[in-house]
Amino acid sequence: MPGRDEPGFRRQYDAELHLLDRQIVDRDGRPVAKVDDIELAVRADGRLAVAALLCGPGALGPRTGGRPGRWTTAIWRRLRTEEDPQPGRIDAALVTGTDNAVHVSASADELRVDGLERWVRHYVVDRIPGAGHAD
Amino acid sequence: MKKIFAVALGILTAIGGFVDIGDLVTNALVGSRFGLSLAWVVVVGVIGIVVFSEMSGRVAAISGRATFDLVRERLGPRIGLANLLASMGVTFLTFIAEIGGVALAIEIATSVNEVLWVPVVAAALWIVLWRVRFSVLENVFGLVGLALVVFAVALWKLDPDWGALWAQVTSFSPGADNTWTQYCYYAVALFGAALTPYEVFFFSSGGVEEHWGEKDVGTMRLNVFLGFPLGGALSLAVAAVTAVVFLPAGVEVESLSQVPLPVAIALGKIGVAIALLGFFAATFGAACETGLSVGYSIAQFYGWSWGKFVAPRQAARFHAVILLSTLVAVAVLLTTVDPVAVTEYSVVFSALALPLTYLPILVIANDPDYMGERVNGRLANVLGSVYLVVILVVAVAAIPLMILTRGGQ
Amino acid sequence: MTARALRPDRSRWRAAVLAAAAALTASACATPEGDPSLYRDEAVSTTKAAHSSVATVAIVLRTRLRDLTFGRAADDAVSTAETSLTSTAGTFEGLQPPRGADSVRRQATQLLSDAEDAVAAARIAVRRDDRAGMRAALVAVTRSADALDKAPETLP
Repeated sequence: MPGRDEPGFRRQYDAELHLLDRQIVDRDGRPVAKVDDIELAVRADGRLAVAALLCGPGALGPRTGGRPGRWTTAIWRRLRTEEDPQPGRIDAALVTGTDNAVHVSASADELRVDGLERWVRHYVVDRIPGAGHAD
Repeated sequence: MKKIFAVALGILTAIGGFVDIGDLVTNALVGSRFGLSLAWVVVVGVIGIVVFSEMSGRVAAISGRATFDLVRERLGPRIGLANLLASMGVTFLTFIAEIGGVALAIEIATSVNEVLWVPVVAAALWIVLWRVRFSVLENVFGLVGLALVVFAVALWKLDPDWGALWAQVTSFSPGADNTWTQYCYYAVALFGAALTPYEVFFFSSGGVEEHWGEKDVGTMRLNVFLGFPLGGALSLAVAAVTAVVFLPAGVEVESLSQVPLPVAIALGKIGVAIALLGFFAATFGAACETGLSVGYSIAQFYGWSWGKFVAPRQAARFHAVILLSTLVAVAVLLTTVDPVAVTEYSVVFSALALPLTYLPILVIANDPDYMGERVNGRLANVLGSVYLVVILVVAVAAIPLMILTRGGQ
Repeated sequence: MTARALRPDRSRWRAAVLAAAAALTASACATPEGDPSLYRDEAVSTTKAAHSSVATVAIVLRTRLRDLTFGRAADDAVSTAETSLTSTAGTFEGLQPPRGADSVRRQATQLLSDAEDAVAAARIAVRRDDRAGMRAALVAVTRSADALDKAPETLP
């Protein structure tokens, strides 16, 4: 697993083209979320680096912009219990590689960026018989 | 031997799975009104779906990503969202039409009103989507859908004046009873029926779920190149029998119950039974495909886990979307809206929404970042560009024609 | 210029588009009252649609009499055609005829009600699986279909 200084990204990167809106896949190959936005940090040498991937409506809304974007953010804010909700965050250190998808070294349950998925699973899907039955 | 069997099965299910309520209704209606003078549109549409499906199937096999996954990567969140809403709306409309179509097929067999069948059909459909394996779903309905071959047999048995039919095919004109705007409107409808966007969502998502790789491209192409044109031939057979029986009698097809009549005349009760079985399988299979496609498109757009290969609890939001859209579809159909009318609108809106998914796929299929050496070849690009123009023209013309003809009247 | 300064302009556009759409919808819903020739056109297209339903019933009766289709399928096809015919006829009968078009209305309405009677008789016979009734209905249905087919010439 790459360390903090050498994450799974290439050294120079067009984040707009190669990172944003890509599928994030967990260590078992399961889709987790999209790269809805990214958090940048200034490194010691003054260059910008990706610090984290942000996911969920809280990150996507501002990027969508306009009325649909504001609505996305507002609905998300209303559905959260925290005072000042923050979008889901995946630390760049967890990224193991990027190709057509962004691969991370944790499982979807450990990442905890898919609140709606867990809510729907708990309150809707698990209550229907056969929910745990795979093909 | 096993391999040949698998390939044959794929082609057969592609044929049976090609026809849905949109193809049935539109082809029967057009055949009864315009004869075979619009047959060329079916040919153009089938070549279009072949080009489009081959591209998205290849993209799915090489990049491992399904259509809507890529739509957002190429268009960004804002235009991507507009695209998602439009494409999902059309697919959902088609989903409603397919459920109504299943109910109508059962109504013809039982003469119990379709509205009463809608909740039953929807419940059965949801159980299938919840529990039945993807391969079973695809193979059973695809194979039983082959029963629609009865329309080709009926055409042969009716033994029409083949020269006169060919004259209709090559007339390229609306005939005495119709105007050119009506002709163009139904050309758009037929094009939309042959080239529905959900077919591509379903096809590429299925490819990703089945983990197609580079080695599967050949099989995928065989299915597309043989299966879809033969499926298109089935649609043409439906148009041909209605052209032979209804056009001279001055009957215009406006309900599904009229469609088996030419088969009855040609083949009697056995033919009718087979045709009804074919209706049921084709519409039920397409209802499964459209229902899944609604879930696929939104899940792929937002990066949720999706698919039939994982347990429902591992794709909770995906299954919740399917459940919710089934319930809403039932609610819409219980308003006693005519499923045939829904179908007629759904095929025109399909034509309208096509460029939204077609363009991103065309771009990605040319992007070596995703495709490596398997980018579009010369032929795929020439055809792809020609069809881009065709699809754009059709999409632009759809709504004005709908208004001018008052929905084809 | 800021986005805010652009906004009033945009809303005026929106209002204009809405107004145009409303006007279009309103004009599309207006009945062709006033012009006798438009009313006659409406009568002709109504008889044509009615002919389609009646001719469907004729085909169903013939296939059922030769035992080529199932009773339930025949029943469903006749019932669907009947529903469609009733709705077509009802729409026409609800139109206000312009002055001077009363003879068109009388004749068209007569044709339509004959058609409805013939189709209802067919439905009753098919549902009872009454072959003699179906034969009688076929005669009436065929006669009605012929009359409707000739309506463009026979209507005054």
